[in-house]
Amino acid sequence: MKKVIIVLSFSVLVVSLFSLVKLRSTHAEYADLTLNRYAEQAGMPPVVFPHWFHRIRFKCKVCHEDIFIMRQGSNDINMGKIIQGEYCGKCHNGRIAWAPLYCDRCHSGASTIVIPQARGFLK
Amino acid sequence: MSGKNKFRFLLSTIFMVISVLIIVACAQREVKQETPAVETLPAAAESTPPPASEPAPAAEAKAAPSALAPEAAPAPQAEPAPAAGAAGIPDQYKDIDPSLLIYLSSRGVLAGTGDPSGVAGDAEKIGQLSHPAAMELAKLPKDKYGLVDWAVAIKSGMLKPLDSLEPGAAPAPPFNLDIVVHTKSNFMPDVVFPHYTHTLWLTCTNCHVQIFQMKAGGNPDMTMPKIAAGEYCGRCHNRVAFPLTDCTRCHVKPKEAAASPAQQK
Repeated sequence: MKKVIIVLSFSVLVVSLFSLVKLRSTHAEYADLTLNRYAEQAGMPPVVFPHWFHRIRFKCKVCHEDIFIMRQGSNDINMGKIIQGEYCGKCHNGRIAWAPLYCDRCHSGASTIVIPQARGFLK
Repeated sequence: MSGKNKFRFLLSTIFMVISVLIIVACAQREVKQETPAVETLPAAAESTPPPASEPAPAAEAKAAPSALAPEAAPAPQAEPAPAAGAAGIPDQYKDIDPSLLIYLSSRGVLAGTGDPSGVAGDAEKIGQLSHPAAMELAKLPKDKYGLVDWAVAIKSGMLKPLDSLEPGAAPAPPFNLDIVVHTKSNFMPDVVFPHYTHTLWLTCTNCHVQIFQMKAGGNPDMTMPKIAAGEYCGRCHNRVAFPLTDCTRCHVKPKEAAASPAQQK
């Protein structure tokens, strides 16, 4: 009887811990991009690029295609280039937008993050 | 023996009570985290029918030039606060102007805060380039899938995205030309491609000549399977722009040949 109680309470504890972990998981929007060419290899969480967040401020043509090619995987972005003012660093330089000093603002994803995709059409 | 048993029973019950308390605490945290999403979505739904009435003044105030920035910053404070929901903002950000909070998603996941002075970038501080303030995804107009209707957002003046990184660059006027793209089936309405809506966001070289030949009928290979595979319109639509399942948003012009026999009958 007591064993059962102990096992039950322990399992409840485990479940509550799991729910805590689940709450920490990040959330992505439609049209967000995950950038993970180097991030996880280097021990950083992947970058989740919020398209919507940038679209509020800038038209598509500001970044495409002078800075970024409009095809996922065709831009070889790394932190060195960003710090030297290429790619994200064209704006994220402390003058137009904040400098690349706040790692977790961009490296906010998990390897399990799911980007909402358009569904219901032949692919 | 019985005393030992009693002690064990007491211990296990204490353990139970503690675990229950933990669960309750978790549930309360979950509710706290969930409420912003629940609260902001109806707020968005309410604000979408009159897009010009409520959110527009806030957007205008935010997009106002840098000269107004110190005064404009407190002005939108009153409006986003009720929509964002006071419960959704963590304690450490409660004293900060809500328009400065940087959101990572529509669920109110906060990335951090902007500059407390109310001016986003150093360029704006020295009067070079204005940087529109943060704005929640939840406040933007939505389509039938709940995705942001960017065309409505920019046409209604809610958004004033910058044309260039160059300070003082003259905005390029949109190009007003509708192109009818005839569909290959005899029942699907023809597509009317509005250059106007697309040039509100893009410039000619984004599409021409890499993606589309600049000639009516110059892209005979354009089919829905290819678009769904990421060519032609599918370079943006279904990925960043609205999805292909929204058929009638592009297929707007009924076929005359198909329509006439039906009318005769």
